[in-house]
Amino acid sequence: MFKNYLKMAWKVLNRRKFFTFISLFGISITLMILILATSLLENNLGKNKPVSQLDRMVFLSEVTLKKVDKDTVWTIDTSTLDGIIHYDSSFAIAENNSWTSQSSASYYMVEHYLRKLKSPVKMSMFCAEAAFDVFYQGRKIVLQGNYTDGEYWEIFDFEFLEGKPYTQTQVDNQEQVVVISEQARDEYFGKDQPAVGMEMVVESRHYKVAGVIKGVARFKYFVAADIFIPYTLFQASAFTNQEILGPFKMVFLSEKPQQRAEISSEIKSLENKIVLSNTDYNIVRLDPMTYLEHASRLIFWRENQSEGLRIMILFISGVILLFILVPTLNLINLNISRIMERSSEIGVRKAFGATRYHLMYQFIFENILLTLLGGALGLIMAMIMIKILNDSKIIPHAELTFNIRVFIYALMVSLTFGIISGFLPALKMSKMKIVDAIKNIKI
Amino acid sequence: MITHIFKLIWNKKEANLLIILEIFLAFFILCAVLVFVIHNLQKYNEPLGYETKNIWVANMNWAPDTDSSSIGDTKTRILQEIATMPEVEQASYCMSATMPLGGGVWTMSDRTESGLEYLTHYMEADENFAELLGLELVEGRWFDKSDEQAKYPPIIINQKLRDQLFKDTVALGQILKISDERSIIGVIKHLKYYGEFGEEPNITIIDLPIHSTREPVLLMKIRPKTEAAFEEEINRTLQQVAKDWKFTIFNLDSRRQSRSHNTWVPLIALLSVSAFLILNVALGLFGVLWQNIQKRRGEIGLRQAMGATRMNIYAQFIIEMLMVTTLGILLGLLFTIQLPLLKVINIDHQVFMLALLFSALIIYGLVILCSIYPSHQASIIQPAVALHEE
Repeated sequence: MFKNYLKMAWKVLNRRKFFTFISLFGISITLMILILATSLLENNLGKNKPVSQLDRMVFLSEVTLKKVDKDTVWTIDTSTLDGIIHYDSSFAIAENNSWTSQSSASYYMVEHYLRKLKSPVKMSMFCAEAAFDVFYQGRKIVLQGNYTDGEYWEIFDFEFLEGKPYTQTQVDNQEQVVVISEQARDEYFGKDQPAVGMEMVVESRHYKVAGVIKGVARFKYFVAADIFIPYTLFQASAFTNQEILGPFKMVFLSEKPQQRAEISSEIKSLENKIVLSNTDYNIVRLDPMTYLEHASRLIFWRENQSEGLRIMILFISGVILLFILVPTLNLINLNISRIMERSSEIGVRKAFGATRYHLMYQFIFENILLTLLGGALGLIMAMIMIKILNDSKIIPHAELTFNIRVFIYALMVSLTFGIISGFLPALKMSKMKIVDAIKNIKI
Repeated sequence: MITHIFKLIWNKKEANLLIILEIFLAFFILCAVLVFVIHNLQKYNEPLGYETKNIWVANMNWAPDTDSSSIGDTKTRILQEIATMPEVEQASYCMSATMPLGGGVWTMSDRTESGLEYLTHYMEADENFAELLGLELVEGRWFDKSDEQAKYPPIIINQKLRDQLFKDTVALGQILKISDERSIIGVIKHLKYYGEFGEEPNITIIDLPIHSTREPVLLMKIRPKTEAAFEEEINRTLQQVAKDWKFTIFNLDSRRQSRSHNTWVPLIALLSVSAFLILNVALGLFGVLWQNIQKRRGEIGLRQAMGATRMNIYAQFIIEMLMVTTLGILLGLLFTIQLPLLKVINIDHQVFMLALLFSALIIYGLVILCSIYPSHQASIIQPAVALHEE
């Protein structure tokens, strides 16, 4: 039976090559784009190294200080009467926000408040906003720097090509050791040269390389850097002042993903406990965020971070839905108008006792076969595109990868695609009356 | 004729409904993509207002223990050292946090005396800044030495802020309260702070005195065709003057390009994805039409036998297709119009209208293109053959 279906499907595919081409073209291009999109999303926001514990992390990267005081607020209405502009002004007492200052946390803030949080099992402090110009053998190398503590390496699981991370003891002793990225090593020491134990001069400081990590895409907030340096080597002034705002961000790890809310609310509760020595401000706002919330906030800016994430999810699913719907409708349309082609076959089969369900199964089977074929083509095209995108470096430092999860998504999408686009035409076909079907036989 | 064709469409409403639905979706997607594309291209078309070619920028960070009274002297020495280099044509300081394309933004809001509320970006730059960046002054002048004696500290605003605050009056000499009371001495034409694809904000520029202790960036206009290796020389020179300060140099032109790149890539990706989608729809329509005409051979034969000319048949099929398309587009309009009306999205009226117009034109164009060949096939059917089959 199965073999028969297969044979028949193959015959149909071969019969009208142009139509087969149209169908395959639509399916394969759609699937290729979907695979590329999932691969891009997976790469940027998925749970892969070095953020495998993504769903247990809470970040604190924004601290906001505000000066809010009660003030009279003037409202001016303009109206035109006989060509003359009149101003009507009215006033109300309202909160007036006169100064806002937003940055990350200071060392003082980290040590006095954030390190004392009870709910996280692990926490780390880092400053990812450093950049260094290094001139080496007549070449300029721009290195993105990240000052971290020792625990940073326990929270983020970087893949080490050689060597190992520096420890908290080394950080406390202000040892001049660094971890560098694969790209930094290639530029500084030469491609695939061993670097561990070697010396690197950055801003006239001599660092010893402790380890080399596999490069991370530039989009990866908080972890993308070329050189990781113990935070104790940061400018000394950062450790002595008592400001609240400073250069440091924090990441907190919860025991289980569900317990992240506890950490967030504990951070939020600090807002009322922080004593402001600077009288320019009277309100502190802390915005703990998950990784996804942070990403969506950067794309769809919203005051409220969970709303940003909701909009992003809505937006992405909306786009994907629309995107699948068009080729599906297209395929349905094509299939329906092609049924007549096969009316003789349907008539004969029905006359010999095939039931409606038999015919429907057969047709849907054929359609699934077509979409799977298109899916396979799309997969090949996606792989080629990924190779091209990676080689052309259109997206800087992004290594798009193709993994089994993306493949399963693609397979699932092709199957649904096939079933949905086959169902309506199959229904229509199976309803055809024998007499009509046989009468329509063309020469 | 129209009512007749409408009846034909109505008789096959099931099949036509699916086509209408498909056109509706294609129209909807095309609209969304075009709104994004037109919006960005319009931004791109507005002048940037400043030059980025051959401009290098040195970020500088003080050493933590720098004595603040020595900063002015060191900054002056840096300017003197840089001036001796033949490759550098001009140099200027601008506050680092308020540098165009620099990533930082300072804004402030206040009310004018007449009660108009305004929000403006805030910049601090010295007297060479305008010439170095090639800013175009439309009124008044840039900062100069005479400003030190002025009663009010001077500020310069951009045309956009001028139009907002002093539409029908004189702007020069007006007082704005930007942390202190300051007097407007000049108006610049444009300054797209965020680069080519960013919207030009309101801008107020304040004089940056050399002894200011806010961390600046040093902008340098480099003679054309200077080699990139010169960067190391500049870095060394700067480092010699200020030993403990930290300098990083970047090229303003590549900064502008990478900013634009961040918009170009999604723009082109979106365009090519929707192009594939539309091509897909077009091929599908072509297939459906062709198949339909094979099915309607009898009808065509009869029409010709009754005296319809080839042109009649041709026109009939194209008009039929156009009517189906119009129904789809009308359905699409019904939905898309709701978005700005219900304030779901906040987009410029003109951009939205243009997007609607272009989407409709593209879809009509494609439909006509797709129906030409099948209609031609229909028109050459011989009535004798077609009717014989029947």
